[in-house]
Formats: sequence, C-alpha cells, structure tokens
Amino acid sequence: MNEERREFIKKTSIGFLAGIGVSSGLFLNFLMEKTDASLWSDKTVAGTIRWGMLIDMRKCIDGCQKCVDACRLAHDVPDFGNSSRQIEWLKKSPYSEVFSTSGRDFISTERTKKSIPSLCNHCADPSCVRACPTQALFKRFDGIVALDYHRCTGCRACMASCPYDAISFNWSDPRPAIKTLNDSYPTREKGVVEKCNFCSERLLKGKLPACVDACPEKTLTFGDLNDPKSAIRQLLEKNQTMQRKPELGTLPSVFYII
Amino acid sequence: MKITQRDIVIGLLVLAALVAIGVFWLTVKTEKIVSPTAKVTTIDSTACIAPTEYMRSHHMKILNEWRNTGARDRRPYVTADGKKFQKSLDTCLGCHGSNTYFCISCHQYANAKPTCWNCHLSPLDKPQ
Amino acid sequence: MIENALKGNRPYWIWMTLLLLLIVSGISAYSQQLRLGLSVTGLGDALWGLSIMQFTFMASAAASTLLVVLPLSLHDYKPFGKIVVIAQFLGASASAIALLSLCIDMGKPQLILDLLRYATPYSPYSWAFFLLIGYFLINLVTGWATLGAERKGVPAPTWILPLIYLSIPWAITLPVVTGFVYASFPANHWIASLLALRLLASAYASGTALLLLITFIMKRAAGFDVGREVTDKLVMLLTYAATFTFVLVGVECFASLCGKGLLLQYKNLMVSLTWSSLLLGIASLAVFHVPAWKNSFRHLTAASLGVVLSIFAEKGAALLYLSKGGVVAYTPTMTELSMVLGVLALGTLFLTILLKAVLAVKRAG
Ligand code: SF4
Ligand code: SF4
Repeated sequence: MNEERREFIKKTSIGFLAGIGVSSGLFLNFLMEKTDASLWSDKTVAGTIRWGMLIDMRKCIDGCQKCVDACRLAHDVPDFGNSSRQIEWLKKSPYSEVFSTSGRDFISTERTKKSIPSLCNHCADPSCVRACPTQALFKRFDGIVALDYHRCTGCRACMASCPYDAISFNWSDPRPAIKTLNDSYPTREKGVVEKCNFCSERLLKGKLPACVDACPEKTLTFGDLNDPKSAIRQLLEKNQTMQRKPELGTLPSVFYII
Repeated sequence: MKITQRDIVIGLLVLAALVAIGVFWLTVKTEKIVSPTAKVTTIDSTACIAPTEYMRSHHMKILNEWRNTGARDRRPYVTADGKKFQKSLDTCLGCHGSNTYFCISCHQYANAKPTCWNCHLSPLDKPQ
Repeated sequence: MIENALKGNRPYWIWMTLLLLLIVSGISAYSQQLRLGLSVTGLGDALWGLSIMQFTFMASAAASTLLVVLPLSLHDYKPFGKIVVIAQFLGASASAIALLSLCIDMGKPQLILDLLRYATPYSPYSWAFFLLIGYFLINLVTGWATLGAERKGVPAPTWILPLIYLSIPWAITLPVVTGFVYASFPANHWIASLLALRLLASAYASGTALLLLITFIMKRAAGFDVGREVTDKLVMLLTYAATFTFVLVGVECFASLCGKGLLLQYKNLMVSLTWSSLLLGIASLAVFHVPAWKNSFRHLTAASLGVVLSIFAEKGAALLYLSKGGVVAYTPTMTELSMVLGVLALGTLFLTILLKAVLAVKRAG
C-alpha cells in the first residue's frame, strides 16, 4: 500500500467518523422525538396501569396447592409429572430456589422451610421480550408481559434469558397431559412456549386472577402499582418487601413479604 | 482485485447508509403509548360480522387477520355497518359453536385442515 | 460448472454415498421430530443442545473467510487469490449449516418466515438469523462470479467489489452477534462480553483450520496444490488466532478458579469439557510452533483437527449454563445426533459440489 493511499484512507475514515458524530447529534432530536425521555431516567413503565402482585408469606399455608391447581385448571396447563419437561405457570418452590441469589447464612428456618409461590414477574424491563426474535413476547399497555402463541417459533431464546425460570416449553403435544379440559382458555400445541399471563382473559371480564381468587388465606394481593391508593400500594407502603433478583434490573412487578 | 479511491468512497458511503438505516429502524419502532381502559368487555356474538355469502368465501381471510393482530391490537374489529367486535375466535363460536359440526363438515368436504384446533377447543372437543 | 459434480473417481463416489446416507438418516430423524416434537431430543433441563452448538461453531467458522479476503483485497496479497474462492465457498456452506442447525432446533419450523417478518433489532437471535442469510448469499454470489470469470480467463467483474468489502465488516459482526446470543444470559449478569470476543478469536482459528484441512484434502484427493507460500501463511494466521483463543479460554478458566466461579462449583461436566478443550488446543498449538513438525503434512493435519475439535468442545461448555444459574448435565439422543450429522452432511455435500467446480476451473486454467 502506498503512502498516498494510506493518507487518503486515514482522512476519509476520520471524515466518516466525524460525519456519524455530527449526524447523530443533528438527527437525534427529530428522530427520537417520540421517545419519552423519562423512560431512560427511571425505568418505570409508561402508561397508567401497571398490574402487580404481592405475595404475603406470613399467610401462606405450607402444603396448600390451591393456587397452583386453580391456575392449571383455568389455563389448561398440562401436567407432565415430575419430569424435567414439566410445564408450570405458577409453582411453589423452596426459598433457596425462589431467592437463589439472596444470602442464606444463619437465616431463620421460619423463612426457609415454607415453599414459596412463584410466577412470571411481568417485569417492567423484561429480558424475555428483548430476546424474542419474532416479538411473540411483548409488553402490553397495562404492564402485562404477554405471549402471542400464534407467533412463537419455539426457539427458546426467551427461556434462556428469563432469570426466573418462568417460561416452559412444550416438548411434546400437551393435550394428552391435560387432566381436566376447560374451555375458558385455548390449550397450546407442541413446539411453543407458555407462561403466566396474569389472567388477562379474566381481567377482561372484570375478574381477579384465578390464583388470587383461589387462595383461602388472601395471601395474594393483585392491583395497579401505578395507583397510590390501591391495596397493593398500601401494603407496599407499610411493609418491608422483596423482589426476586433485583440486582439484574428487570424490575419485577411481583413482590414478596417473607 | 485492486482498490481504488473510488471503491473506498463507495464502501464508506454504503456503510454510512447502513448505519443510518439502522438508527432509523431503532427509533421509528418505539411504540406508541395507548391510554388504557379498565373497561370490562364481554364477547358479543349477537350478530354476524358480514353477510353469509361473503363469510362463506372470505372467513379465512378475516380469521387470519384476527389471528395476526388480535393478541396485541386492542382496537375492536369494525364491520362495514359500524358494529364493533372483539377479535377472538370466541366471538364466532359464541353462536356457531352451538352447531357441533358447523366448521368441520365443510372443512372435511373441502379437505381443508386449518390449524385453529391445534390449540382452540373445537366444538367437537368441548367437554360436555 | 456444476455438472462436474457428476464426474469423479471411486473415492469421490464413496464419499458422496456416505454423505447421502447421513442426509437420509438425518431426514428420517427429523420427520420423527416433526411428529413427536422436540421430546425426541435429550433436551429438557438443558434448553439448547447439540444443534445450537453446531450453529455457534459454524456461524463463527464461516467468518474466517475474512482472513483470506482481507489480505487479498485490502493489502493486495496476491498468493491468496488462489484460495479465495475456496474460502468463500467454505463461508457459504458453513453459514448454510449454521442456518439449518437453527431450523432443526425450532419448535415450529413452519413459522420460519416470521423470523424475517417480525424481526426486531433488540434480539441477538434475530440478528444472527439475518446476518447468516446475508453472509451465505454474499459469499456464494462473489465466489461464483469470481470463479466464472476465472474460467473465462477475464478479471472478476467490478460489481462484486462492493460485496466483498461488505463481507469484511459482516464477517466481524457475525461471531460477535452469535456471542451476544449467549452473553445476554442473565446467569452471566448480562455482561459476559468476553464471550463475544472469545467467539471472534475462535472463529478465525477454527475456520482457518478447516480451510487448511480442505486444501490438504484437495491436494491428496485431487492433486490440487495451493503451494508452500499459501500453506505457510495460513498456518501463521491459524497460529495467531489459535493462540489468542486459547489465551482467552485460559483466562476464563483462571478467572473461574480464582473467583470460585462456575467451573469450580460444577465440577463434572463443565470442568472436563473446558479443560480437555484447553489441553487439546494447547497441544495442537504446540505442533504449529515446532519447526520440524511445521512442515510435516501429517502433523499439520492432526493439529488442525485438534483445533477444530477443541473449539467445538469449548462451544459446548458455554452452552451448559442454566439461565436460573448453575450448569446442567445433558446427553444427546441418537435421533438428535442423526439430525445434526444430517445437516452437517448436507452442508458438506454442498461444499463438495462447489469445490468440484473450483477444481475443474483450476485444472482447465
Ligand atoms: S419473569 Fe421472566 S418471563 Fe416474566 S417478564 Fe420477567 S423475564 Fe419475562
Ligand atoms: S420461544 Fe417463542 S416466545 Fe420464546 S423467544 Fe422464541 S419465538 Fe419468542
């Protein structure tokens, strides 16, 4: 390569970089006009509703499976038994799994012996939505992270990127594994993923989520996190609560009182 | 293969165009924020959404559109005469589901195999 | 030029029959998967397995075309003109294998077009899919045009120049984006940026090793010699890339040991995979540095194979992280293995046909 050419490449590259710099400065304003700047500052969700849930473990009865069963029935969730291919929207698991990154040294057994309900957190900054290559997973206007089964290609990128293991995959046809077929919600087919939808089909009819309704102890509180007067906000105000893996910045909408 | 200065300029221009397209793609895709309604909606199946003749030949077109947009577009389907319907298979089945063979008899005759019943419960599968 | 694939000696036909058999067994395994779902694989606790491993390996190996195209087109290093078409066809076939590996891993492959229709810039998976299709087309078209010109004895058409320049940044982006597919695992706290870098380095090492192997095979089987200078240069590039790769893998191992990271906690699988990959890699690397062995055809072949295997094993180790944390044991089933081998055979068949055309042109010229 000769001197002259080298010089030329250097100059054009500098010019090119400068061009990008200038144009991003110039264009940023009008191109990004529609974006709400507050979105970047504190990553809370725009819109006026953000559905959330609070799980009060002081009330939860150990061994009770009413919420889990209600969810299974309401959404035709198949039951593949205790295999590694089990499908779960809502499950109860030990403290060490639900809060796997929280400290466990010298913790009271009161806390650790109970199994804790866990479900999709309907994160305000959901990593699953970002990972999905077909936008089958998307964030709804009301904060619910919804899944369009019609569009899911079964690539499982979402499962790999959800830190809470909230998404399950249909490794085989789910129909034969459904105990009681219920026609209030469609089933899924083999090759798609599925997860909790915060009972959006029941919200549409003005009902509370099935698990919330099913709990005899009122362990679960459901409500609008953006409304300061809602019951869930009152509880959050008065109690010390936890989110799962807050250090990852996904901003879960499900809170726990342990 | 020898590079001339012209080639370099063209290459850089192409790169610049690609970057510009990328930036554009990223920014125009920011979603519009729709104000929510906490209104309770019920499935309305009291009337047909289009004349029988039209539905007979075009139902797959409408259903396919509902299938692609129903989950994320909250606006209802508006018929030619201004009636509004929720984009859901249940809107149809609310009425037609009472005839167990409504869908299947014709599909069988035409040897059409729609994928709807992979997930949605067909009137045949409904628990009695 | 394609018609040359129908002419060949006995070993050629044995080779083709073997590939066809593998393809047929792959197709039958795949039809079983279409019927029964992904339950025919060994997956379950592990989300992604052998086919995604192959995707990662091939997507990055494809990018190594860069190491031939760059010296030739930007630094005017003439000797590489001899193998540039081979490198481009290798790039095209490797991207085809990577794409097919993605497809056989999908739960609903009938929706493959939705990946194009609803593509989103936020998803690394989406990017990888696009880049692979683009890379496949670029390499196939430029390679074919160059070859056609060579056959007619005229210089390559000028319209392929922009495509070739485009392929350079493309080849750098491809392994990086593939790395981001895994770097965004939350178990890695979203910041495993070293992974992308590791993939980039290993891409050039494994791809060049493959290219070297192919030139050896062509020399043995068809008597087409690329010449001492090209081989030496390839070995040099391979040595650089492989050294860098294994330093990075070593860094990862060291960091895990020091930070009591995953490698130490999950002894069995991760440790054995990563360590054996590292040892194999270093052993192969040593061969390239010993002057006496550097000129031996046998030693070089063995060492290149060693690099390829070692890097494939390392891809496996990166995959076994679980998103909720921890590492999972995973044994592929026979069905899965047949599918993956079938895809590999299909890509190899494609490459063989292309290389047959290359040979015909080179011999005539
Ligand atoms: S919990 Fe997982 S599946 Fe639910 S929104 Fe968050 S990242 Fe997505
Ligand atoms: S499995 Fe389905 S929902 Fe999950 S990322 Fe892939 S396409 Fe999206």
